[in-house]
Amino acid sequence: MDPTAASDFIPTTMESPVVELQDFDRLVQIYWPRVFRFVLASVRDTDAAQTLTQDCFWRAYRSRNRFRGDSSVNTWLIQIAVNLVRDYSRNKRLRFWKRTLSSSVDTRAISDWLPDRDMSPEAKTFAREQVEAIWAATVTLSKRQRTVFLLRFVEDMELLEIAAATGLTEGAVKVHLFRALQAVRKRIRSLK
Amino acid sequence: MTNHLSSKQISRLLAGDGTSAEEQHAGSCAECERELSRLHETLLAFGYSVQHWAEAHGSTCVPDSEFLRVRSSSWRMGPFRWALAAAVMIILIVVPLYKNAGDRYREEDSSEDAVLLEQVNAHLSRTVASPIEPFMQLLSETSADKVGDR
Repeated sequence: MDPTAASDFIPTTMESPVVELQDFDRLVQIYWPRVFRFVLASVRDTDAAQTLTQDCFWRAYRSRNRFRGDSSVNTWLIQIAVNLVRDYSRNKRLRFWKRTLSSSVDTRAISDWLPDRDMSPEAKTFAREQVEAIWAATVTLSKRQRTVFLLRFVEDMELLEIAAATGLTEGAVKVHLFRALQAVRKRIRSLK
Repeated sequence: MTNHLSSKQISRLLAGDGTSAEEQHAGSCAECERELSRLHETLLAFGYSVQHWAEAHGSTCVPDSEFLRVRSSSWRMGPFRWALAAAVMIILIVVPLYKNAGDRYREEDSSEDAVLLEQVNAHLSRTVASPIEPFMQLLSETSADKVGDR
């Protein structure tokens, strides 16, 4: 994964998770971008992502005294975010009328953010198409497949961390990731 | 492993679920290694794009964590607010019930009083005590008979 990417917000010298929780202001500063990014990529609605990210930190703040440091703070926060996204997706159908005031984001522009490398115009166009194809494929994935896929390839989390955050076994994470990759690759192949 | 990796085997390797033989093949076969590295690059580009797209949508606009303390104080007041609302509801329900019950008791009491008053009036309107009343009635009947005989 790009060294300037997901992990750029996480301090290199990490304190113990319990100590880290004592300065909650700092914790919000460090982890907000990552949690917001995961939620936004999952729900694709800026307002909903803002609300859910706030809820995530609010829940963490409320239960900070119960956190024993069994996992990293990042995994713990992502675990809360995964649950919130799941609940949001369940209730989404009931809120269809709210779509008129929707703040859903334009995901077509996702490929505008490709890394600026020395590529020929043709290669760049192809790369853009591939990124857009992956983005489009993630919509067709099941909720679990999408969550696992985003955590692995956007958040750069290890399989065991994903397992801890999603409550799945490592084997189940691999199965969901395999199926997600098959679907994504099928979409990429259709470009050729 | 003599043949190239199948599509499923490549996906399994990317998912971190490849066998050691598949991993060994991917390391030694230039074509399979190229395919894996191409896919890896594409997925990296996707991750990078999503990260920067999220930044453009405000992922780095971290709010002041004051919102936690504000929400915390209102949350702590939450149960009290519920208790207050419950108390008001109870008052609104219980007071009319109590009032109705009081009115009913008062009605019952006044009807009992009326009966008692009637009894007292009846008692006072008597010329003789109630145990002697039958004798008085007998006497009046006897005197009437005598008048008739005459």
